Amino acid sequence: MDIALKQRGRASMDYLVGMAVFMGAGRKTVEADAVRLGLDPAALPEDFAAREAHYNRIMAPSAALKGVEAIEEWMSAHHGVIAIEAFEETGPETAEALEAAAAAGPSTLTLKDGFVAPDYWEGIEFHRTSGGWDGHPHMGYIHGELIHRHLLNRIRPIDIFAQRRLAAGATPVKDPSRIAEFGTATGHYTTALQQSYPGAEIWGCDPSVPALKHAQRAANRHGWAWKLLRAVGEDTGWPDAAFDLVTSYIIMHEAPVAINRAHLNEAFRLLRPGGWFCFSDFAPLGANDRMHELKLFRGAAQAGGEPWAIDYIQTDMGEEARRAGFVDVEAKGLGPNAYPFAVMGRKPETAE
Amino acid sequence: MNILTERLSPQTEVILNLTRELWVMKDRMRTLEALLAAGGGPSTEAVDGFTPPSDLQAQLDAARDAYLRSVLAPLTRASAD
Repeated sequence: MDIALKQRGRASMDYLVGMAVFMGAGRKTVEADAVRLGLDPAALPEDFAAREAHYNRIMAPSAALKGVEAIEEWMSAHHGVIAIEAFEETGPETAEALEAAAAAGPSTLTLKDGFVAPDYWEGIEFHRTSGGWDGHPHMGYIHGELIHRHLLNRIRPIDIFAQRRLAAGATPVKDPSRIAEFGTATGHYTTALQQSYPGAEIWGCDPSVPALKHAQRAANRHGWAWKLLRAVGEDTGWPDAAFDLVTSYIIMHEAPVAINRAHLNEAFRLLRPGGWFCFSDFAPLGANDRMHELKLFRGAAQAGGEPWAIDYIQTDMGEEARRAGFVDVEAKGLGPNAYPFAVMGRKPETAE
Repeated sequence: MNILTERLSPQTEVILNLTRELWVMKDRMRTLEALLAAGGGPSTEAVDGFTPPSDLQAQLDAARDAYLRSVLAPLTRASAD
């Protein structure tokens, strides 16, 4: 559902786009500074903290780097606030229309009593969202659609659903009758799953109700009967051995390593014997060159609103999957620059 | 001083906030001029020569005060360290 922004919101989103374009030019100056200051990509340390420190030390004289970081920080801190303001400027009828769209259709959203959001998620401003994923009653629409449509797609138009379909089809599972998804959020990957497996019954969980409501609107718009649940992937409450595929997309870097291990254990419980799990995300360290990894993750923990990402990229999730009991485990890049990077494995048959 | 304050000083944040507000206004002015020209409304010269009546001036005063509070907030934010 698209909404026509009012002048202030429209011009402010235009300004964010302009800032992003301006920053792109600024980054070229930073790259030229790196050459001028003698930064040797081949000499970057393997250890990520040491790598960041090495880069920061050599690049300290670069005024362009300071300028780009200042603008990046302003964009990170303000883009969500500006998008919320643009949304609210359109008036209460927008929220009413969104509520109606969420309620009309075959999908269901279940909110069980007693749900407690985990500490690693509650109040964390992932992606520098203002107030976190539950920071606004319509944060799902604001981040899942408004920011995508009016900012991200205009900066770098990519087919996010094509990337997700790549991940959805990564395992040998051909015709799953039931799929479980951890971290459904606004339903972008869920859409790719449904497109890849039109006959599958899809169950999705996420701790954020505003995000799930946006997913529900997407499902209802297409007539898809997703079963959505407010829950975390490590504790779904779904039945044992009831799924052919358990999957997630860009969720591993949003959770501590211990929770990713718990996701593997929960996937093992949920899968029928012979079923597959497939978790896709950014590639861990070592899959790309060190400079590329630095560009992706430098400052991610604080400035990027990704408190768990650095731990994730230093974890061998394939090895974790084997420890959880999976066999035929594979961990590999599916697209350019090893993105998305999929970790997958099969739950053995009882007799194996 | 935390890493975020190191990346974006209050002074730079003010400049970027103001740049946004200025762009919003420039966009609005161009939009208004286009709409006025299309609808046979007042000319740019008439706008230049206009003196706000007292009720409009009061509205402008209130909007200005809110605007300055919004834009200049980083200069008076309590220190994080």
